[in-house]
Amino acid sequence: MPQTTKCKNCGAAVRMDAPFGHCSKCLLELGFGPFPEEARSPAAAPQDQARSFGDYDIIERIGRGGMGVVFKARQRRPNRLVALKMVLAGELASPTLVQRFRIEAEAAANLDHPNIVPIYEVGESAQRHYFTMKLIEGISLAQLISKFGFHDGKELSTGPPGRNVQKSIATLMVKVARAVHYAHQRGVLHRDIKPSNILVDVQGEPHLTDFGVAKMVAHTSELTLSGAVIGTPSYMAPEQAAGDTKHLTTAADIYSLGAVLYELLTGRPPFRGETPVETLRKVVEQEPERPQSLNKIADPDLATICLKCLEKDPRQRYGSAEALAEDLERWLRDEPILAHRASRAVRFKRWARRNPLLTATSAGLVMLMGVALILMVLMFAERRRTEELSAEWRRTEEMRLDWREKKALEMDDMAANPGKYPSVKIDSRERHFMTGTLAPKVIPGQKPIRLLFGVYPHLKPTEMVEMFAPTLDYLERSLAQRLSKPVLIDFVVFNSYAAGELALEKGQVDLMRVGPGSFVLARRNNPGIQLLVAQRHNDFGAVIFVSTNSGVLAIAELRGRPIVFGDSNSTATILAKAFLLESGLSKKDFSSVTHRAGHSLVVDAVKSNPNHPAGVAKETAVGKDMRVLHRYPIVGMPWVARSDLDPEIAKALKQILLTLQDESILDKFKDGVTGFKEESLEAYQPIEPAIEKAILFGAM
Amino acid sequence: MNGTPEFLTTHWSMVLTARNQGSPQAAQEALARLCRVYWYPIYAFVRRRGYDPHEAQDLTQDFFVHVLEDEILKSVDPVKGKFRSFLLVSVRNFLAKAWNRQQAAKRGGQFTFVSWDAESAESCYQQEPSHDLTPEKIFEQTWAAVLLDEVRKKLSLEYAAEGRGGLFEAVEGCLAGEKAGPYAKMGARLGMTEGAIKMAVLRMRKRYRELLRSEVAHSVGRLDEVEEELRDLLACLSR
Repeated sequence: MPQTTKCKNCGAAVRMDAPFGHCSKCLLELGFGPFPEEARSPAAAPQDQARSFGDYDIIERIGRGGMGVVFKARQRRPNRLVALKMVLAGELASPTLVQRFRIEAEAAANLDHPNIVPIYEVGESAQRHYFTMKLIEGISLAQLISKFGFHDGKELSTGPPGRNVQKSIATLMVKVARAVHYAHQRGVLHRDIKPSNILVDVQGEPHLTDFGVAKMVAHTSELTLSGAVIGTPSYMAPEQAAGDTKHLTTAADIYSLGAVLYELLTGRPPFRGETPVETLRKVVEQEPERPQSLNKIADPDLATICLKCLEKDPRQRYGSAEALAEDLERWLRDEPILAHRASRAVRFKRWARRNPLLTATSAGLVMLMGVALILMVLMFAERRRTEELSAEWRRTEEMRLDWREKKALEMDDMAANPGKYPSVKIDSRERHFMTGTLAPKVIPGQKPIRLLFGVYPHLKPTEMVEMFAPTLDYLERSLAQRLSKPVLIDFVVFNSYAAGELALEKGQVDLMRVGPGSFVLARRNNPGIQLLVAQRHNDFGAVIFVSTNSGVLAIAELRGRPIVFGDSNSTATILAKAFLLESGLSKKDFSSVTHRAGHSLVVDAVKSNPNHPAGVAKETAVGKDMRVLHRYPIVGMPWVARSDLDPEIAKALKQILLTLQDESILDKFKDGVTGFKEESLEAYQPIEPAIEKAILFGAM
Repeated sequence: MNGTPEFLTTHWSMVLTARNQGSPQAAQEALARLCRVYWYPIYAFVRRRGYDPHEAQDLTQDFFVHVLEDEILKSVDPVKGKFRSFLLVSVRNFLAKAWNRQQAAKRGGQFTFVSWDAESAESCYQQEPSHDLTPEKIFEQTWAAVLLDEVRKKLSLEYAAEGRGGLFEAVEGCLAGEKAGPYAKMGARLGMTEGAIKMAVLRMRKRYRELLRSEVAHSVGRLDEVEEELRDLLACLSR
């Protein structure tokens, strides 16, 4: 016989597990209009909702795109005109997408650049996600393109852009590229640069709009409603067109900048098919036509700059949007540009034109043949190297598996005896060996840059290696590319927070990921420690929690009970102790106070203790079977460098981390890390007083 | 809300429009999302039709495989029709046609999006009142229950996400009013004033209503059908 109870409202029989302890009828009835007492509250919708939306009065619709509708609207407080973009319901289908949308939009909201349309607000109202931007009075570059004299690729109306117009095009693109570079430095990709996303105001200044969000939101509909919302993929980088949205880098935006420049020069985007699918195929498979074949007076150097952006291989494009801007400026100043090899031949031709006496056609040919020969030699050498590497790979594979087992045992044993070993170190070669990746090649006689990267233990050392290996591999590759030298990063896991802090203070590690609390503590003794970047989290916080069957509902009820904290120097612990002290509880008010080395160990301790102790851990470690009594956010974990680390290396590390967006790397960190951001020292200041309070908590 | 119909894109409306625009993939995704919430009423319906737990598990799984094929979508009236009615009509037809089952069974392996714990489905079914409800009736009742459960789940997750899970658990019983226990007493226990509890209940009820209406909206095609569907469900329960 099923067990029943009574509806808490009407007394009808309901199942024990009825939602809210109410019967379905009572619950459904609540779905109709507001109760009398609610009618007075301001949020209880007046009739004219059609014209108003949250804090905004909608004036008119000014556009509609794949992701939603754009309105011109007036914000009530502060009183100003804005562009309000409302995301179509259903576009953000999952909570993860909603969260990503918000993170992206919030990241973009932090961009403060004269050529980026500022985002004012990101929010949700009436279950619609929206964001508002500065309203730019002007027209989009897409509309302007016709003014440069083209209707489409074939038909010219007033003629192709001449030299002067090309100069204004380059000047405009310098500004756009710099704006993109500014965002890249702050870890934000645009992902959907195209003429319609570049607004030009009445002064002729370009303003880039829809940073980071447009593509992300359009993503789902493009996949599903084929043709209907897809728009044109003409400006998409081949790697993006091929669907590789996970590993997009700044190079994808640089491609799109090139595609816009191409259209400005020739009147049509580099690839255009009858259908979006055909365009996609062309983007991936075909080489763009040289701009000069579409516009005879397109400057060859400007065309070369453009084609360098459009290289299929991201590594062949400009290394940064800034490099593109600089090359455009060189062109504007009539200086030689740096764009790719083919331009040497072109430059030679131009030089030859200026110096007819010295020129024989054969000289040009000889030079071209020379270039071709060098290319062939390089290609051959590259192939040889790949073959060598794969042979080496095969030789080591068997050894690797044996060794990995042994090393793993050794490392975990070391970790189990913290008194014996303050840290566990694994060098770059060992790490690559363990994870089965190829270590950076060091040519004999060449001195590599060696860096030591440290972390605290919150997992077993072997698990820590797995967590950090992809990042360290990535840093090795990217640093080597920037510094033109092989880079090896060794890895050290400290056996306690204190041991890590000490090593950091003494400058024994070059680079370290630390907790915010440790960072503040270590800086007290060594203020020279450099803050490089902070992890950007997906709403990262810690909680004070109890098991649901403890019967405890409020913080005050913890008096007389046991409590389990994490490491005493961890930020979660420091902030929890400060909060408890503020709530009138100190160490003596608990029947016992213990510390465990990791978050999951705290959760285990709470679960296994029949006295139902309270626990303190990061939120992601705490399961749904626990009751959260207090939640508090934790500022992004800092990545720091020792005070005297070579500034060039520190700068490169910072830039590489800021542009790291590869989810397959970031996901390893767990905790919803979405990337890195610049962070000021001030962000860590609130921890200072908390440390004092945490000490008081224990002393009282 | 009625003034802005263009904003409405519910799961069910997506199924209908995507189907019209010839995009079965979008339709399938939205449909799969709906099926994930509403599988239990189907199971209860099939059980009440007299199949034993084992058969009912197989048939329910087969039915969803069948639903998630595109052909069945073509039979939906494009202008009107709610997801609930669609599902009920479909399951009746499905049980009537044995060949359909065999067809679907062959393909069963590749569809895993409507997965459930078969044992918990049965133990849940065992909790249903045992008097002689028709299969249709039990379908409607469990439909409402699943819908309301889903709303509660969302609401409690929202509270938990804000670190107010304790508060939610304490006051959820007062959703429809103070009958469940005086606010003053509850306030004393939580260290809050009576007024604060009253406010907390009001806020919870408001958010509950929003979530309920949005959940209902997903199973109908247009926003103005939300109230109608609520009334309909109420009527089903009262009959």
